[in-house]
Amino acid sequence: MDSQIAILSPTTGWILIAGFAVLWLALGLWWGRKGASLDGFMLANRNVGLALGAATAVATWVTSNTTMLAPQLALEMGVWGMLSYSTAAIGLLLFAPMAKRIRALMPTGYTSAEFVRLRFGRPAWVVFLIISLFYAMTWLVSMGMAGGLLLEALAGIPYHWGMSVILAVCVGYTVVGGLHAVIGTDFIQSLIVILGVAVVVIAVLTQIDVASVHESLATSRPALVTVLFPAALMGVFNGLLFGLGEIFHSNVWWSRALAMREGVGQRAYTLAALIWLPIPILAGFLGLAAAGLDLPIVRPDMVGPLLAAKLLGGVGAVLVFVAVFASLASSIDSLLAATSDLVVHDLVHGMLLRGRSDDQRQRRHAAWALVGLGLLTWLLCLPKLGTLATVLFFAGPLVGSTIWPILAGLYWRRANSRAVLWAMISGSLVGLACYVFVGWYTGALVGTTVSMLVVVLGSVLAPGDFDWAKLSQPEPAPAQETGS
Amino acid sequence: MALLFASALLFAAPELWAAPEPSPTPSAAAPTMVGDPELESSNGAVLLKWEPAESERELEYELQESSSANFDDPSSRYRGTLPSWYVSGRLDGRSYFRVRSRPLNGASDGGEAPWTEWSAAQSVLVEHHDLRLAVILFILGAVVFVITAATVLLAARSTSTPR
Repeated sequence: MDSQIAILSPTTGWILIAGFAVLWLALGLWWGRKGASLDGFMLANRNVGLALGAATAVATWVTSNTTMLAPQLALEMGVWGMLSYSTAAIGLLLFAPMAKRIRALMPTGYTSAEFVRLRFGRPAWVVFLIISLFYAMTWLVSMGMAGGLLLEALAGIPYHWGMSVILAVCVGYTVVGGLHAVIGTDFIQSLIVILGVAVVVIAVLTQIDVASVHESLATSRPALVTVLFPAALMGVFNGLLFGLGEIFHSNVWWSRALAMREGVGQRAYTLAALIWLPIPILAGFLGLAAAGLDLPIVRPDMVGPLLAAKLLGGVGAVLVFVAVFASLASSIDSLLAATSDLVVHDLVHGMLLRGRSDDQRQRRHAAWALVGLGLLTWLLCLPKLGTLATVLFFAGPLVGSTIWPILAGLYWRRANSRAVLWAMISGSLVGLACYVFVGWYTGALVGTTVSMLVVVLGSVLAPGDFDWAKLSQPEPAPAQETGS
Repeated sequence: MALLFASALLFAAPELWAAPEPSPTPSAAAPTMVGDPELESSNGAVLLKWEPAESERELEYELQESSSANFDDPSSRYRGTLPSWYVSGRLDGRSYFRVRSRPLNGASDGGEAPWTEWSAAQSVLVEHHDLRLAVILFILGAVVFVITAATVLLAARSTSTPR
């Protein structure tokens, strides 16, 4: 059905894809020369500077959800929806000081789950790992699906072909180049996305009358311009807390904090937040404009690209195609790299091998983990389930429940490990119940609230006493090896 | 008598004497609205979809909306080839939608193709969430966010980072 609205010919689409595939793979090979060691492959030798650091944060956070879901939220929730998506920048702003502390507390650390294990012990680590991996897979699947939908809608390329090619390209250059390739391509991709979105919005603004769009909205879709829009009011802080949870817990952001040079993290994340902030507002405006123009919409998550293509013709379609392709790749590669770090360093090295593998083995495992993750994502994308919002927001309660455990773990010496464990469990369960029985716009909010109360009350009633030095000390050798 | 009988017959059954209208070529069956005939929404948004009875030819659709089930005062909402229309931003209330189709490239004799009959109506009932609940959740969210943000900023300022 979606192929009925294609603006580009399949041939043009394939040419663009082939061009980008060759470019990203070549750059991956070039930068991959620096990724022979485990530190080089997973953390770019912990030497990322300000420009690359800010660019990779922007590119990763400008996902296809920013370019495709922001217009959908605006179309569904009106002005509130547009503004609430942009509040995700606050997550980057608040993570900035945390990035500085993470780098200082764990100068030789690798993952966010590793921090939770050292700080709160194995039970909390297992729960955190489950949440992290579930969230990462949800995000990855929503990206893979978005890729397939985009190529189908704009170029008539069948969903399964488009989704498969996008995943294969991203897995390819991440396997050969590691985090060096991810961050390097992110820099180029962030420039493409910012330029593409800006050009499309400016071009759209020159072709529509904002006042008449508002007038049309007020007549045909009045709730979109109403201040007291119940579902939108519920969604504002839910979205904001969801964004905070995503950034605070996800290894995507921790691995970058650990990869940046000392003194760079805080400035890079602050800069990234300021650059990112206007992008969802611009993209969301496309959704409102589409509603004002009564554009027929086959899938609400395709409204932004379709409007640009409709108003700007072939040039608009190519611009949108290139910008969204870059935003997809920049997020998929980051997720693949950060999630494979979790799989290798925490799941395989930490849980299965109990620390009995050296860096070179982990380096080899990392490449295989990337291929395996790509394959799993591909399998989960095959059924094409639900809209993007439905898929993504299901993870909201889970990540919301990790905000306070991470926050307390980083700054509060007396945070209680058992309270943190139960905060994540109770926050996730109650939040999911609200997600199912009240609506998706309550899941993260309720999950965060419950988790916060459990962390604070549990730690006040039974305070712990953590020695920060444990985070930077080398771990003792496993018991089996010590005894042998 | 025969004239009287004929007059009575014609009066009772005017279709027998009325000039036959150019009856449209019996067209394909009407499209079908997909999903529950009574849709509900708590945020004023719902995606309407429909399916053609036949899918061999490209079809043009017309979607109508009315506030009454028998479409007393219908408004045309969409005319085009795509089999869906996204409703959003609606206030509380019930609306009815129906769709019809015709071949996009005209009839086989070159003339304008006739429309099918209208599909069965699909109703959309919008009942927004309770505003009091929404405001309570908004305030709760604001409180949780302010506490979280203040904690990060104050902790980052007051905590000495070990080296």
